[in-house]
Amino acid sequence: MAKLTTRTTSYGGLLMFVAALAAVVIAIYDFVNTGNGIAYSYGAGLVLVVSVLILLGALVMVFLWNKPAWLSGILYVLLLLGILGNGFAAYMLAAYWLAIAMVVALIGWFVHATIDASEEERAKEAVRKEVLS
Amino acid sequence: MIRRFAFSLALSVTLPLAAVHAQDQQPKQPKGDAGQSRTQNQTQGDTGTSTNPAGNSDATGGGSEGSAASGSGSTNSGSNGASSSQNDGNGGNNASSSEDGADGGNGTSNSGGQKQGGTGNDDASGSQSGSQSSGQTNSGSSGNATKPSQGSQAGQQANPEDGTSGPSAQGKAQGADGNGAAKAEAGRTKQGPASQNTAKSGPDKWMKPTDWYTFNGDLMAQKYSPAEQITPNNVTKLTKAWEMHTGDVSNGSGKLPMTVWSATPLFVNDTLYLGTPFYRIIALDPATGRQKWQFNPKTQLKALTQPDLKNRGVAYWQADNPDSSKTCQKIVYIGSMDAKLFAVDADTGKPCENFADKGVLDVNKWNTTNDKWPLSLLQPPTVYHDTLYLGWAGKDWTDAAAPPGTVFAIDARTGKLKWTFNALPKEVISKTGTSNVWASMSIDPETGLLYIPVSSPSPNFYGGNRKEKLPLATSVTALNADTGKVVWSRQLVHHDIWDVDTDAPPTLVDLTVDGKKVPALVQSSKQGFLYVLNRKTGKPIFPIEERKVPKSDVPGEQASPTQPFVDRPEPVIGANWPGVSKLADAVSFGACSRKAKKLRDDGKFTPPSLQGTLTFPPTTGGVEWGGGAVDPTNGTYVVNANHVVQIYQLIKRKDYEDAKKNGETSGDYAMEGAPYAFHLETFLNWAGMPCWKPPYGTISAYDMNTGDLLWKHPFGQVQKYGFYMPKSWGSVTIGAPAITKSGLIFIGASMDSRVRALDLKSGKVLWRANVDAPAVSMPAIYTYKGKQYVVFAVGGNSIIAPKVSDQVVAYALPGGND
Repeated sequence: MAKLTTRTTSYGGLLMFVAALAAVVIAIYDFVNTGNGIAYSYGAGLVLVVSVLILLGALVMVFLWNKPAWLSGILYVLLLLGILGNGFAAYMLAAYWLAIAMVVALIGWFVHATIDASEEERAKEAVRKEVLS
Repeated sequence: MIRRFAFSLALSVTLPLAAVHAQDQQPKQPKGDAGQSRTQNQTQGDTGTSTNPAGNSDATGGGSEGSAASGSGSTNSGSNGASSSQNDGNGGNNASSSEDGADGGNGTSNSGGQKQGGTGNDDASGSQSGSQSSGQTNSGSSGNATKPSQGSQAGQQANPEDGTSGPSAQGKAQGADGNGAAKAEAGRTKQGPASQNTAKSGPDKWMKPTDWYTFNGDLMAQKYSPAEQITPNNVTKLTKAWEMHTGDVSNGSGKLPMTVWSATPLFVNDTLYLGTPFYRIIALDPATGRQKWQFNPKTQLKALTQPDLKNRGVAYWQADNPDSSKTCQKIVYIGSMDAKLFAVDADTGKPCENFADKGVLDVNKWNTTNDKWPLSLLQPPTVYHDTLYLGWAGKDWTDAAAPPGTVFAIDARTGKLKWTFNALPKEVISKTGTSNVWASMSIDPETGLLYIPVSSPSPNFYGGNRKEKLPLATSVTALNADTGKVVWSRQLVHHDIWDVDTDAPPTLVDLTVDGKKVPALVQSSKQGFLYVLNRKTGKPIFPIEERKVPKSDVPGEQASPTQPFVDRPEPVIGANWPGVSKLADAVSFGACSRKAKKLRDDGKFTPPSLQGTLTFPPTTGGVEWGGGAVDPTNGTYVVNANHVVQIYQLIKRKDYEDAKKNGETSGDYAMEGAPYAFHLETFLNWAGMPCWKPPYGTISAYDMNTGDLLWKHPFGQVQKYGFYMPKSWGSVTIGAPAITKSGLIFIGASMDSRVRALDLKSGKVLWRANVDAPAVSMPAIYTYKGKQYVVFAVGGNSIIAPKVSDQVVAYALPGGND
């Protein structure tokens, strides 16, 4: 049972989701915190928007299981690009907490892509779980 | 429009380097203000000085090296020829020199000045001639180099070597002139009703070294504080002590023009005084930032001569022995763009009824020649011995004939005129103008010499209409503070057609050179040279060499055949433009390098051309109006500099008029009255990236006792859309550093909206803080009730970044007063 539970839990995806959520909070703070050098700048707005998109992407990636394969593939690519781009943008904005959040999200992406069970496996596990229950 | 579009596109797409950009887009600023590059540029432009090309200048000028030249200058006009030949004789290297020589001579401006004055004979002449000759000689020899003399004697006679005229010369001259008010009136120096020699010497009683009582901290423009509480070891603990917002800010989106605020807060009379771009005076508690009082002149808030509302702060005066039963024993002054000078009681903020017209002096009443725009008072006056020394800014890019630059000496109590000084001869002011003093000035309180940075004549970029010798133009000139007579003058650029106004006050400091103590001054410049002179005589302490420079290929123009060069101290910018940036070139698919090949580039001082000239440094400098700071205890001089490349292109009048009909004159200066208009463009690619290699801004430290460069680093960071570019690129800067005795440099100035503290020994950034906009000013450093404060006025300047602010922020070490 324990093994089954492990296989169905997307730790990497969750990590990515949590990091993206933190990124959104940080980006909002950076955007409105007058005096930080980047408040209300296009750059601060850009990383806020991208952080929200990463959060949405992670949400779909982790919690929507029955996605078509092509959608999963696109999401993987877009999330990777989004995380890398947002991390670089955060670095250029000297928004270092945001950059750290993106590093964590990137780790989550890697874990999700390489260690977490695939969607197919997770779907099968879910079925088995249901059958066993 | 096209450029604007490209710019915005660039912005939206990529790299920023707005600074440069900005300048482009806002070409219309007056000299005066320099506040920003733009301004400066424009201003200068206005001045029209450039026009000089006439060859004469060259002749003269060229030779002149500047210094002496001036003297000659005026004088010269007449005699140039002669002098020249003499010079030639000397011949030095400069081929052209002959003519130059003459000028160059160095003449000390004295003569020039005086002569101009019309006095004619004056000693000036005498001395001048002498000077000139010398000057020329110098030049001649120059080719080689002017000898560094500190000589004491120099002072007394015209120095042949330098070309500068010595004090004695002046003395005479003055003497001559001096007496006769009538004579003086005829000349360039006119005595006013309040004219009177002061018996005093030394700083005024109320001027305390621990205060920050002038725009530059003190009279000598050292920007130095003896405070020691904040040190390199504890500066990282620096925190915000207080912050206030004046409310006087505009981003230009409403009815008001954008604001540009470069005020230095003054700390004196146990109060912090500020001037705002709405021309209000605000008095603050130095420890809390709480407002004590405010004065609103309710003057018009219109961009009459500048594209923006601008202000660089206020000036303070106090009676030696204040009578507590009377008001206005202590006065704060602020000028406005419409040429009004307001005087209010420093303790109450109420207008001083006995000053001019109930506390308001209309300086524009003296604007009687080519009065096409008001004499904008954006730079606060310099105060010394109950006298206000007042320069002004204008709009000199629009016409060849503009108001001639005049310095006014005014009685601090009554507003009555003591004397006026004008750098241009009467004979030429029907076709040219300005050569005004729009930056701040410095004073040697012991000798009573007033040092003024004189800008270029108008129009800025073409001199064919002003070929006469104008030796005081683009010079550093020493005047007798009591009389306005020229003591010496050194022209820094002959026949200026690049709008490289002398734009900052010389920093006065005593140096030890070859074991001898020398009263020196360090004059920074847009052209990137640091001129180290004996401030009593104007003679160079480190060599100034006249070298051949490229000829003009524009019909009607005659550039000076030589210009003064300085190799030591090492110039703040490179000798040649940095070359094409591979990154910018790649982004533009090679457009940068293709364009560079089409432009004229024959090295430094390549004249503006019809095809377009690659100009480095251009009117943006080099060093801007803030100048440098010095630690007088060891002669360490610190200065920030811009590394910008612009394209100078003259446009035939007919082509300009045709373009004007089609509304295609963006970036153009009319220069009405000249056969050409002018197009100024910063060398950017389609994305707004500079086409030249970084860094774009640096900060350097020198040991001025030896002329050695101690260190030089990129300074600041380019910031665009919030993104910071690599530190190695540096940033264009507007503003200046201040030094503390404890070994720290405090400076804002960069376009990244940060203020910093650097280690004086290494230049390493030890502390930094974010502020609301670029702090395009210089900080004030003071100790109040045992606690040291560093205060920045954070105003922003659209030239370097589209951010404006009304923030005043003070930093101090945490905790109570130590």
